[in-house]
Amino acid sequence: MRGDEAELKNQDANVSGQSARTEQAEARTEQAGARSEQTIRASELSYRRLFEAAKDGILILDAATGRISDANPFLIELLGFSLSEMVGKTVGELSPFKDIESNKAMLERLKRHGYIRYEDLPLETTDGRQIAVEFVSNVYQAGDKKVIQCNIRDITERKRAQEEIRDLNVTLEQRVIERTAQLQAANQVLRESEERFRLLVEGVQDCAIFMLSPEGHVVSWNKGAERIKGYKADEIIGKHFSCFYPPEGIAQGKPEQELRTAMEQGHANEEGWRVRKDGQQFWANVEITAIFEEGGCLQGFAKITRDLTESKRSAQAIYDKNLELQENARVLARSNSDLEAFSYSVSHDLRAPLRHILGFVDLLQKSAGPSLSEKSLRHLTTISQSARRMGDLIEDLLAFSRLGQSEIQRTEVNLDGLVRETLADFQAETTERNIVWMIHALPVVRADRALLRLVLVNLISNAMKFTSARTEARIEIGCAPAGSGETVIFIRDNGVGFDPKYTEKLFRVFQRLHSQGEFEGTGIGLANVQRIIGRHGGGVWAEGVVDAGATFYFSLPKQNGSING
Amino acid sequence: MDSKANIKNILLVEDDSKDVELTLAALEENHLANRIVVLENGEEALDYLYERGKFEKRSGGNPIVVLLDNKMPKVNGLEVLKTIKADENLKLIPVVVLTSSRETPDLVAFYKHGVNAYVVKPVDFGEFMNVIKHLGIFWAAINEPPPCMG
Repeated sequence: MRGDEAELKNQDANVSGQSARTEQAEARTEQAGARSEQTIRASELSYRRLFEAAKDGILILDAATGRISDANPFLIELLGFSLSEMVGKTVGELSPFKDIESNKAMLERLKRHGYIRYEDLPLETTDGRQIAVEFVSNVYQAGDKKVIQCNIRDITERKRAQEEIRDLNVTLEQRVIERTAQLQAANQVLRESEERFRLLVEGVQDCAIFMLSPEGHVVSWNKGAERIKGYKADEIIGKHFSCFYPPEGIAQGKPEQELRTAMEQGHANEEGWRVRKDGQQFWANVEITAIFEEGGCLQGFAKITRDLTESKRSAQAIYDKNLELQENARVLARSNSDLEAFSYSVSHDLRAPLRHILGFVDLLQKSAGPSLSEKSLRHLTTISQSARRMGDLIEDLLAFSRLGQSEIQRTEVNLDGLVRETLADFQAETTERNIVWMIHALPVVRADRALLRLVLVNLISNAMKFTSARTEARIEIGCAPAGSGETVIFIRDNGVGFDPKYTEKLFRVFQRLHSQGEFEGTGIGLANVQRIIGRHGGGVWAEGVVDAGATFYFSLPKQNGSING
Repeated sequence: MDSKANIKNILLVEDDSKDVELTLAALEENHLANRIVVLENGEEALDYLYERGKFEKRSGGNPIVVLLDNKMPKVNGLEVLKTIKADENLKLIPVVVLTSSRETPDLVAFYKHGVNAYVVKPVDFGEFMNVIKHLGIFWAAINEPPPCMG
C-alpha cells in the first residue's frame, strides 16, 4: 500500500462539484458582504475553532506557491514543529515529508485532479517517532486565491491494531490449520481403529456378534453369526431378532423380555435353545448389552451369542460317564460283597464235605482195613491225600481273599528288625542246612507290618525252598537302587531259578513253575506277595535264570499312597 | 460223681447227619456217645431247653454243655446262643460253637453274645477226632458245671 494512491473513480466530478459549490458560496459571500461583516466574522471564528479543535492534522498551503500558510495545533503536536517553523515552507522542506514523492509532482497531481489521497504514509516526527498517516489533500478557491488543504490523520494506532489483528489472524489461521490437521489425524486413527475393530468383530468365527436396533432389528452381522445362525448378512439385516428363538421361547415372550432386562439393567445373560436358519436348534449362551448414547437415549443392543451345544454335549457326556462310573462302583461293591459271600461260603461249605470224605475214609480204613487189599488201601490213602490237598488250597484261597479285604494299617516299619524277626521263625528249618545269609542294611519303610512280614515270609521261604538242593545255599537280602519316590528291596538266591519267559505267571494265583514232586506248594505265595505290595501302591517283579538262581524285587512308595485292590 | 440218674446230657445241635456221625464216632472212643442228645436244628434245641413240643415230657435237667453248629435251617446257632444267654434260667449253660468257619465276623458275633468256647472243626479227620475227644473229656469230666442247674 505504501506510496500507492487511491483515486476514487468519480473524484474529478466530486472535486468539480465541490468547487462549484465553493464558487456559489463566494458569490453569496460577496453579496452578503454588505449584509453583515459580523456574520462573516462569526462564521470565520466557528471555522477557526473547528480548525483548532480538530483531531486530525490540518495543513493549509497556498496553491500558487505550494508553501504552508497555516497548520492546526493537532498537526503541530503530531509532527513536533512549531507553527513558525512550518509557515512559508513547502511540504517537501519539512523533514517528515522529505521521503515521499516530490512536492512538485504532488502539486501537479493536485492541480490536475484537485484531490489526492495517501492512505498509509510513513512519517518520522522531529523526535524520531515513526508514525503512519492518512493524507488527503483538496484544492479549493478561498476568496481570491486557491488553497490546498491537507488533512493528516495519525493512523499509527489503527495500523498497529490492524497488524495485530492480522498477526492474530495469521496465528489463528495457523492454529486452525494445525488443529484441523490434528483432528484429521485423530479421525484417521479413529477410522482405522474402527475399521480394525469392525474387521475384528466381523472376522470372529467363534461367536455371533451383531447389533440390534432399539426395536430389536438386526443392524450388523459378523462371520460368527453367519456360521452359528446360518444366515448371510444380507438375509438377516433388517429382520427382527425373535426369529432366532424357538416357537416356545417366542410364545413366552423371551425376546422382548431379554431386551427389557438389558435396557433396565444394562445387560442380560441367558442360556437356552436357539434356532438356526435351517431350523436346527443349538444350545446358546446369549449376552445382550444395551448401548446408550451420551444423552441416555437408547441406541440399540450389542448381542453376543455362543454356541455351547458341544460343551453342553460333553458336559452331558461327563454326567453320563459319572453315572456309569457310579453304576460301575455299585457293581464293583456288589461283586465285592459277592466275593465276600463266596469266600464265606467256601470257608463253610467246602470244608464240611472234605471233612466228611476224610472222616469216612478213616472210619472205613479202621473198620474194613484188615479185609481190604493193599491196592484198595492205597486208593483210600490217595483219596485222603487229595482231600487234604484240596483243604490246603481252600485255606490258601481264603487267606488270599482275606488279604484283599482287610484294612491296611501303615506304620513306620524298620525292615532290618522285621527281617531278623522273620528269619528267627525259620531257625528250625535252617539248622540242618548250609545257608549263607547276606543281609544288607535295610531302611525304614511305611507299611502294614503284619502284611509286610507275610511278604518276607513268602519270599524267604521260597528262597529256602528253591535252594534246598544246593550244598551251599546263598540268600541275599538288600536294598536296590530306586527312584526318589520309592524303596526297592530284593531277595536273591542261588537256587533252581526259573525260565524268564514264565516270569508273568509267577505271581498268579495257583500258578506254579515246578511240579508238586519237585517242590511242594499251592502256588499262592507270590500271588499273596503281589496283592499285599499292590495294596501298598508298590510293585513286584523277578529276574531268573534256569538253575542259576532268582531275584525277587518289591517296591514301596515313600509317600502315603492309599491304593486298595 | 453224680448218680446215674443225674448224669448230665451233652446236647449236640447239628443238622448235618454226616457230621453227627463223625462226631459220635469220635465221642464213642471216650465212651461218651450214650450221653449225647442229638438235635437237628436250633428250633429243636430251643424246644428241648424249654421242654416244649415233643420234649415236653423229657427227662433230665439242663445239659452240661451245648455243642452248637452255626449254619442250620430255621433257627441258626447264633440265634440259639442269643436266646440261651438272654434267659435267666438258661444263661449259665456252657455253649460251645462247633463250626467250619474261622471268619472274623462270626467269631466276633459269638463271643459278643457270651459263647463259652469257639471250636473250628478241622478238615483232617485225625485232628477232628482229637478235637472232639478233647471237647468231650473237658466238658464231661474236667469242667465243673455251674451249680443249681436242672
